[in-house]
Amino acid sequence: MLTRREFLKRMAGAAAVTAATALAPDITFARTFLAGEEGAPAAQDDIVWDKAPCRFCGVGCGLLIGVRNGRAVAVKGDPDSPVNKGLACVKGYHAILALYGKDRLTTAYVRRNGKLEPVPVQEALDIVAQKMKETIDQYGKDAVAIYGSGQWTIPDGYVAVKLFKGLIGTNNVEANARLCMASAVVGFLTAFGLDEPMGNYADIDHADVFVLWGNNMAEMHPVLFSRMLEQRRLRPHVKIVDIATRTTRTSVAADKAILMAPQSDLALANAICYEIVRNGWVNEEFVRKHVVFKKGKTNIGYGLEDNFTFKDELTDISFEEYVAYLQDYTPERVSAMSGVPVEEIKFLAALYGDPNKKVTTFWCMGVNQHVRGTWMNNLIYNIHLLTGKISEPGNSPFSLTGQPSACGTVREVGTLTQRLPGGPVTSEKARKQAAEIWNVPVEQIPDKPTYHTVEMFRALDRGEIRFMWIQVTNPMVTLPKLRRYRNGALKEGRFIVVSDAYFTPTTDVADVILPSAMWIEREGFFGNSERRTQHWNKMVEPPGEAMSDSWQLIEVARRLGYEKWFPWSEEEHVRAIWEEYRQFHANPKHNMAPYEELKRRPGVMWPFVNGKETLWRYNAKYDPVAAEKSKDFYFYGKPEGKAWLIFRPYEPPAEVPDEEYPFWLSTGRVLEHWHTGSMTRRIPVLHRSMPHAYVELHPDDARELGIRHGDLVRVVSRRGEIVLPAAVNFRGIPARGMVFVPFFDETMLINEVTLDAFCPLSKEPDYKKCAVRVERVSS
Amino acid sequence: MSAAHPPPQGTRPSWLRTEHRLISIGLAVVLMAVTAYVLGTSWLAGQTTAELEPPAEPAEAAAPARQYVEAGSLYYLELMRAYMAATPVAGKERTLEAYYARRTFPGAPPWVPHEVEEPMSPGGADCLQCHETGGYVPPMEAYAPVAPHPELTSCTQCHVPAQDAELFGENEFVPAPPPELPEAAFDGAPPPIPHEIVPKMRENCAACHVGPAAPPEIRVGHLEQENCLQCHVPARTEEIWQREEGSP
Repeated sequence: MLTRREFLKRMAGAAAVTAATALAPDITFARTFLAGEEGAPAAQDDIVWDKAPCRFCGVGCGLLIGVRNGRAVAVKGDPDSPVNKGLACVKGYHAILALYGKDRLTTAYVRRNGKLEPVPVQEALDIVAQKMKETIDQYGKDAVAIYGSGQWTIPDGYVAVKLFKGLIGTNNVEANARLCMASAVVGFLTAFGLDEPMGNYADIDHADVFVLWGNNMAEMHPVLFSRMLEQRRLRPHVKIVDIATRTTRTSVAADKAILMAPQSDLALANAICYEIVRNGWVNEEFVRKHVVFKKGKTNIGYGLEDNFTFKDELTDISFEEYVAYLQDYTPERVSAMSGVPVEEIKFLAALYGDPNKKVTTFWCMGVNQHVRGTWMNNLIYNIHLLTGKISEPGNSPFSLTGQPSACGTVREVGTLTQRLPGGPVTSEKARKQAAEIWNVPVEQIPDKPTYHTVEMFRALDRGEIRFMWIQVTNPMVTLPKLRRYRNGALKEGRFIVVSDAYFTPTTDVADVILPSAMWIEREGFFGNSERRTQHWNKMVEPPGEAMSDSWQLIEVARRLGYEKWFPWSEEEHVRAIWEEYRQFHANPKHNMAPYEELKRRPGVMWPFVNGKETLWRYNAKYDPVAAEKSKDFYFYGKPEGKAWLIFRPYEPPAEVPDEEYPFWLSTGRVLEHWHTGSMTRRIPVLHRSMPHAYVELHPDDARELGIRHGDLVRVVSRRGEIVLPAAVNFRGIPARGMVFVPFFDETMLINEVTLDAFCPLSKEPDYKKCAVRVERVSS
Repeated sequence: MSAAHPPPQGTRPSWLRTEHRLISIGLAVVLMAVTAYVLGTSWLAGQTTAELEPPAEPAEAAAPARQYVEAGSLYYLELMRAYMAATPVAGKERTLEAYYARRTFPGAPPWVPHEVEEPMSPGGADCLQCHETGGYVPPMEAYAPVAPHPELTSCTQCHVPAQDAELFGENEFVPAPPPELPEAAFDGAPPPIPHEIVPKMRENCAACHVGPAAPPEIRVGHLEQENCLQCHVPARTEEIWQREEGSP
């Protein structure tokens, strides 16, 4: 596979670069130094190393994968990656084991007479195409749907959008990122007009204060958390503040942990703004030059009923009117409703208000999975806009993503019902651009969004959708109020195709299962939280007949007669797709790096303008688009170049504990497992560390209920119930009157219990708040 | 003629003479103008807020404090010397087999083979109690290995406990083979380093190679030199260098 001469050439290339490094030789010289070559040799001669972004979370750590005899055998952090600088987490180090579960799917399955039978993949693809055609003929094009993922590679998502929106002509394209990032997207769009953070992870190296708002970074974004701790070690004045409803590893490591009542974050953020105004900490020049004040509709509902619709209307208000609205949020009043002491509210406001402190706010699911998730995103921007702490190193409201390509694929390619790669489907400009690049008539691209995720599964239940293709995600574990949607999928006359690498509760409802090639078994791109696009090569062969999700879609597209639009060869298609997709973003606000650049470097941030990454958007010093218009800041996503500070009030959650269901239930993740555990539970070291789910109780609640650690407990809501072991003083401690259950365990499905209320703006469900009863199961 | 009478023109100091006085005044005016300008501009400069220049390579801002491979061992050198001299508790030595058995592949972060008292702790001081300097831990009846990177305090990020749980599913992963000790150039020559020295992670040679907690197979008996790399160089390849054919 590697001739001696090539080998020597590679060594020469590697030596040239490593010679320049410091005294301790950088022996991780696995970088591809010579163009067009894959990897270079390492200490053990027969291991070839190549770069790939981690398969798991949205941090997007650079990894180096060691391949020997055609199999991945080792992982190390990529020291050249600016994301993680050589460090990974336990999931990342063991990510390659996800490829080698013994029960890996290597062939397709088709359900015949209620039983799954193995069939060759080509035959299964024929069946999928046939069924799609029949469904469209009989029920119309809006009866077929695709439900993908923030773990789709960019080519996967792109092919799905092109096939469904451009050729079939339906906006029935959604992705599981709706369940985790939609509120962040709408937050960005309402405040700045453009999605994704203005800063980058280097903010960590500049900030004096970190406010972590509703996210357990120690477990969910471990590498960024370590970067933060490292900064605190090197610069001891750095402070970390954790705001949460539960005490976690993050709270333990923080300098200050603030516990608040569920949903009271809305009031807390407004109280911080109140204090900033009252103390004269408003950065008046910044606000005058760069901010406009708005308010939106109130009493906006919870989306609990089918066919729920809501359209926000944002109207201008003056600064004085804004301040008048804030008067309801005095620290005293907010303290009473949030349980946060007045002095802690004032302390938070003082941190944000101090003009000499650079503040970075990190947030994730606590803010996003929220019936007012978009509002919470807006309120965090409000704090940063009032104080002018935005778009410069260290001053950064930073929305973290959960999935490796929630940004790269779902948000940038636009695999959501209302999006196209170049803008919303409602925009004629975006449709025309798509029609031109795809070479289809513009009328073929529908101009109205259809179903967001929850509504899409409701439509499947109601029978409006008859055919659904699910790729790289496990909705029969992750959907809230699961029973309704599982029963809906199992109804007569529904046809479900699932592309996955293992059997899961979702393949249990499938009519056809397609075996998918994973991660480094195919070439791909991911895009992480900081606008960094990362490419990787195919390093190992997929098992059996497994095939990448993009290639499955292309095979079906060709069977549907769309060969002309998917003409690429299997070897060249990823590059060809990238070149086609890049055209959508060919402007200085979003330009993506060329293929060669991405292949060579450990990720490149967009906007990539004149050969340079834009490190801080909207800041004239770093962003050429802003520099054209202004000497300091220019928020060019909005027509007037100003960011929108949108007043959002407190509104109660959809369901609150009462006598019958006296506890709050919050759900979430754990360090060891990726989402629904279908990969990580097959990795022995991760499974052994966290073998099953649990219900976490406050020690005082546990004592009152007579529950001890390990006892079996029944968690009951109006939707359903599950039994699982109690955890007291284990991974975290919820506030009194609250329980927490991780969702990774397919044998203890907490989503049987959760509520399908969602944020009316983003349509993202609230997995963090519903009312339950907990009782000890007598043995 | 009183004593107060000014001295005649001719005897006046030169700087008081009219023509010289003009020059002096002129100089003073220039000096004042320069002072005013310097003070003014620096005052104006003080009015703008300090802003950071874009770092050439923002990622490098948090470069590791440690630059040399021996730094970790240097830090603990005195401790290490005493530790090295200690006699291992019979039958409690760590073996190389156990060393590899706690890693999914050579180079993977080892898991925690013992109970963890504080599952809510990210690690830090809790782990470093035993693992900062290593040594025999009587309650565990075992040697605690030295953490080669004690400055990374979110220990649980990579090192997770292994509970005695039945597997969810079998895994057919085949790990990379452990590095083999390359031949020293001749008998008595310092052997080369067969494995990678991962920046920031595994730069402290003493953590694994020195003292009674080190597996005997890879334990070194000397710590006279503070720079291990002075004599032991990484063996990166078995390939022998050969000159390109046809090159002049």
